[in-house]
Amino acid sequence: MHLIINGEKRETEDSLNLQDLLNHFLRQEEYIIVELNGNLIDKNEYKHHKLQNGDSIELIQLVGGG
Amino acid sequence: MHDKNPLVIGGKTITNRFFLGTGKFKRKTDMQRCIVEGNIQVVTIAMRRIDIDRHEENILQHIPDGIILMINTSGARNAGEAIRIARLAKAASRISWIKIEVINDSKYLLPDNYETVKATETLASEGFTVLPYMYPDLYVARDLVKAGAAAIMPLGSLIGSGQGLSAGKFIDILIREINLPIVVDAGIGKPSHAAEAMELGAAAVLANTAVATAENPILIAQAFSKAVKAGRMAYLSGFKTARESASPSSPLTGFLFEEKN
Repeated sequence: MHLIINGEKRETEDSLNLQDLLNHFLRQEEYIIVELNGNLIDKNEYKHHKLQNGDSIELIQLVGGG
Repeated sequence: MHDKNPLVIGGKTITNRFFLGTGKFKRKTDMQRCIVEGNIQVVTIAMRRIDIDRHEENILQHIPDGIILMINTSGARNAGEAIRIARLAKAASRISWIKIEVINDSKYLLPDNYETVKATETLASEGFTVLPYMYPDLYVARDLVKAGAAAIMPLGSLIGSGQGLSAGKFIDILIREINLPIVVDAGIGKPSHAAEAMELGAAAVLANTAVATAENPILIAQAFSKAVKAGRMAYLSGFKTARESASPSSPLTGFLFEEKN
């Protein structure tokens, strides 16, 4: 299916939940904030969110800044 | 040194008045050593989209426990974006100290004072500890007080320029007129600039580029901490500033010649 991850189109396999997607793209310690279609998703809820074709996912992390 | 007015922001007492930004460090381990060896208590961090093709460590792994973290809303171009960043940060990480930085201009990176007041009002009403980064304007500073800011962060000079206190005269006015901690942020290029801000009566100084880009960041972080302390001590001493004419510091000898009447 098509997903929009951080504004970019990505092709993934079908039938994924949010946790599967994160496991695929990132190491766990890297991410901190996950939004699905504009809604902030609680860490404990990732596996309960089944992804649909066209979903938009924002993955945000804390970085150095002044 | 006993400071009869310790710095308290958002209910936290801060003894090291040098705040460190964590951007631009070549190695995160250098940043960590700056925090530890410079006895830093307050650091700023930022939020950004993860680049999933270029893995980067979580910066929190390099920031010791007990450090006060302040999220910078850098990247926000208006109040709404700054508010969104702050809310996301709080929901995900429980960090409630926010440096509001709203910038529209890519050449001078000057803060948009109007949008900054709007964001401060909303976030302070939601319980955030809000430290707005602003261009030092007295009327805006008064609006920020009314909006519920916890401290006010006027720029010393342009971000990353290292030009020191180009805006010093106006920061001085804020220090005299605004009854909130004034934290001088941006443009601080070397420890003497930081000392100068503290001598004026600033409550604290925040620097990033000057530390992160030094050949030995750890050494300059320590130098900044000491300079900030020295400036604070000087301010508390009530030292006398520049005069128009000379004033002798030794008694005039008198016996070397007869005064002519």
